[in-house]
Amino acid sequence: MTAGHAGRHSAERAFDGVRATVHGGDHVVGRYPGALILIRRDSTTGSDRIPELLDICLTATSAAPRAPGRQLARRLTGWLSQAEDAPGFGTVAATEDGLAIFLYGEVTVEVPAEDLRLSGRTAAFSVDRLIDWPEGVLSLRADSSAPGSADLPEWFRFQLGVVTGSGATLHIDDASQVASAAGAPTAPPTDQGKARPPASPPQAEPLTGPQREEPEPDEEPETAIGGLAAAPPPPDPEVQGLEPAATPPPPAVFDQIHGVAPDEPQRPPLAVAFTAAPAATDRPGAPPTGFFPTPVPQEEGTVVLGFRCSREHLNDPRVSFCATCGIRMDQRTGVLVRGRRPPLGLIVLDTGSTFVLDDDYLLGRDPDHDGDVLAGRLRPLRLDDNSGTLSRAHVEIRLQEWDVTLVDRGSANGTYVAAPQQQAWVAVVPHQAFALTAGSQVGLGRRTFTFESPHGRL
Amino acid sequence: MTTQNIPMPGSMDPMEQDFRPTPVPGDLTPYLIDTHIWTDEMLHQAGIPIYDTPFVTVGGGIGSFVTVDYLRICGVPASSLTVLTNLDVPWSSYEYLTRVSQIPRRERLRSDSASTPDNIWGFPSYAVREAFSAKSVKDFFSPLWNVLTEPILADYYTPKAGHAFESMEREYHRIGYAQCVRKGQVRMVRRRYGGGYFTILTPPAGAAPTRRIAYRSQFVHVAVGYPGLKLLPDLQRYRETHRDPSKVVNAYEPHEHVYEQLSRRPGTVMIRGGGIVASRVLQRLIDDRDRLGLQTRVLHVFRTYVTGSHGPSIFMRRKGGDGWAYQGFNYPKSVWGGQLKAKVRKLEGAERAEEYKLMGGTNTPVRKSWQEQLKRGRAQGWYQTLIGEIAELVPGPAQTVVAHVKAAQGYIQAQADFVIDCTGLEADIREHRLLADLLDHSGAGRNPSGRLDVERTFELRGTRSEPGRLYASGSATLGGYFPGVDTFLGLQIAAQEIADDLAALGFCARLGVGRSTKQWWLWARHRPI
Repeated sequence: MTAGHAGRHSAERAFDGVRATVHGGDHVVGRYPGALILIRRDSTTGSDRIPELLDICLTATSAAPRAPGRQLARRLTGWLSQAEDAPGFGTVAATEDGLAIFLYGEVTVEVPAEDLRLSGRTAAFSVDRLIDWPEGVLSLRADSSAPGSADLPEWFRFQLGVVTGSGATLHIDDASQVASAAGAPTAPPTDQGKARPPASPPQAEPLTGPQREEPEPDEEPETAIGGLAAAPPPPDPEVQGLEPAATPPPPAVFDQIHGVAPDEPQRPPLAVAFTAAPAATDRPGAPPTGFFPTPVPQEEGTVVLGFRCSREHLNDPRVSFCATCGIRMDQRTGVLVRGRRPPLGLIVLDTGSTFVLDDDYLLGRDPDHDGDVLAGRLRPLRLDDNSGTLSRAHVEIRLQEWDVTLVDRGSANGTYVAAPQQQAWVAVVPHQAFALTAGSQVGLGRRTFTFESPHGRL
Repeated sequence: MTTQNIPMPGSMDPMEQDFRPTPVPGDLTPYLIDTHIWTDEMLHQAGIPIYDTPFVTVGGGIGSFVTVDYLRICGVPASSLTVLTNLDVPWSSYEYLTRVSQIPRRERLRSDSASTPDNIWGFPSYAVREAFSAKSVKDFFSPLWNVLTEPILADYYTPKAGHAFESMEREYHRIGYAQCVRKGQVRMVRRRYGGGYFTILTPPAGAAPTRRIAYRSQFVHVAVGYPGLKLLPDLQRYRETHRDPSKVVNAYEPHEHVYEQLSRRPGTVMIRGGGIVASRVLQRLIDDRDRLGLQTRVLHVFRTYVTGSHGPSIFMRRKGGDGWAYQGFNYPKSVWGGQLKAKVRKLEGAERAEEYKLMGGTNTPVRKSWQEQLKRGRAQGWYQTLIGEIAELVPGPAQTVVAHVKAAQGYIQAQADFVIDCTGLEADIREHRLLADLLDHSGAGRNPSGRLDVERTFELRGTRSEPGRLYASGSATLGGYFPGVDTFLGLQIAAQEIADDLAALGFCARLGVGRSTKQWWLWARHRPI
């Protein structure tokens, strides 16, 4: 569970809100939700290991996007123990309260503000460290002598994906990360805190000392660290003299709690949530959510005859409540109309995995090579079973009008159904459709699944 | 109060446009739909057959059942009563909703057992009957001890759901209820020129030669219950956008797969709502957790977080804590027969609405076992609460759902494997087609709480068609002179008021001491009326 309300500190340090920039080069830099990875691409190591590493990152960050650090380290250690020709690589990933750093080979992590330098070369196997969120910037580098990205304008932002580069910098104290997310105007080039006046010009090499030593107005950084304050106007050196007079009063309790200045224009946090998340699932290259065996079908779907509820949702003519909105179906006189069929329920496998029944399936030990699957008429659903009692193509789940039926493919050991609340198993006659009722258990080989349906009948 | 509405040309409800083409014989015509008061001739012209019956009750649920029961005991023959319904038996809708919300027949109900829908006298009570049907000494004394010591030493006694249904079934057969039932959907009730009402029924396809049938009656009773489940907009949006019925469910719809999946692998469930259903769902989750040794985690989202006892005065206080408001039943006990019943009976308008607000609100009965479970959950960290409102649900990674919760601190993202919405049933009476038609065409109005405005006799105010009467009872009339209408006892009190009014009109016999005693004796001997 990630309730996300653990505290303001962790909320403001959301890894995905931190701006990252990439240093030029030929190695591989990738960013996933909650994690940053750098993989060396040298002539001495085969590049065939790189996709495996990226896959590990994808899997770990999909499972726990807010704090994948520990899980990622575990997976990487496991993988490294088997991969003899692994390239040098490093990851920086979020944990519940800080960062997890994992380095292998010639990759370094530097946090100049805290005088921290870690290198994979200093370890016999790998460096695996947990650190608190540091101040300033954090650089992950394949080559410590290569130039960084400190002087890049603020609108350079590496959010997600895999690119070439020699390293990457996380601008942890760069409060503009939130400002830009909130649609505020971009500030002039600086990779130091937005509240900091540009009294010292941007440094080409920012790793010279603690940034806190910069002269700064009294309360401004406090507000900036709040992370949710509106972006200030672009710093104007001429106005600097007026700063003390123009300094806003200390943040009120309201600000400290809400992290929002009272006069801030309407923030669009919902807009980010509404657009970003669904887009992530729709995007072809996005990490799979794992729910559907294939991406959510966008096509029209199967058209069937049914009743519409008073709010226009198509339903099985036999149900009492609309499966989409819950209104009673007797609010409108039943007239059969054609429409796209909603999902007819789901199956819950004995492992706990669920599959929504929006299409016909073929279940078995190896259904992928079946003719109907290859022709696209059935979706394959492969079940692992070493007992030898599960056929390659064992049973089909066919959606017929509003019914979910089983058709045994003539499997060697048969398919069995136990009605809801019943212990007795009934054998399904091969090649004949058997209608399932909600709550029925189905046994095939040594595996079982349960059919459940949201379409309630009195 | 009765207003004669003259329909304006073209002032039609858009919903009615379905009926514009009338290819089927005996269907409603636009002329009928637009006319508030019908004559017999108008139905003849439309080809809709008319059947005469003295009394029609619409709905066919427990509200209709207790009303028919009362009238049968008051001497009305079954042939004079007509129940128009889609339901097979009166308790089927109630049983369905309790079953899916985790109260199958073997579990105890969470509502008041002061009334017994199968027995208008309430004697012997469920507890006594349970004791006398016990097969062991312990089972004999247990319910009796419970009612003797409640609510101080024990939680309030409530009957098992199966007990309530089985006893209703006995009464169902005793009064010959099945003889009164006509199956079909009721489309509308309209006043009749010359007195009485027409009730339009759509029988099942092929059951009658015409599309509609009209029942002409002097008295009509409407007890249609809730229009449906309340699925909040974000929940509906999630389902429609992602075509995924499994992750986000309402507690009043089948969601066994949630428990099924949690029993196979650990997961997090987000619960929304703080009423009786939420408490029952939590209990099921925690029972499963304890019984099967699961690692289920619960994140409970409260919109209103109650931190302690609350109320306007020392005489009107309700216990609370940890987010919940506690009350023995969904209303204070005194609404059924105590000072609140007497007080509300005299209140009008805004004062009555205010009183309802004070005694109502979301609350749940304290149950010791369930309290212990939550306490343990809080101590061990697997039960956590969050105060706010869910603004949006989106799919998360690894088959999860991410809820954007609007809290006092701003927006919080919370991730869970399932979201179970326990916010209840749809309460807007306009969502029900029949009630909307009564509001639009038959002179019915809304009470201060926004539901159907009924008199103290449960006559629907503004709908009188002399010498006929139109009555309503059940949840649609909440906010009237009698609180607690949507409970077993509320339905029975409404039936009693209706029977008294009908007795005054000469439709049935008054239930005096002699008749009452004789009828109780018949009931006790299970002799048909």
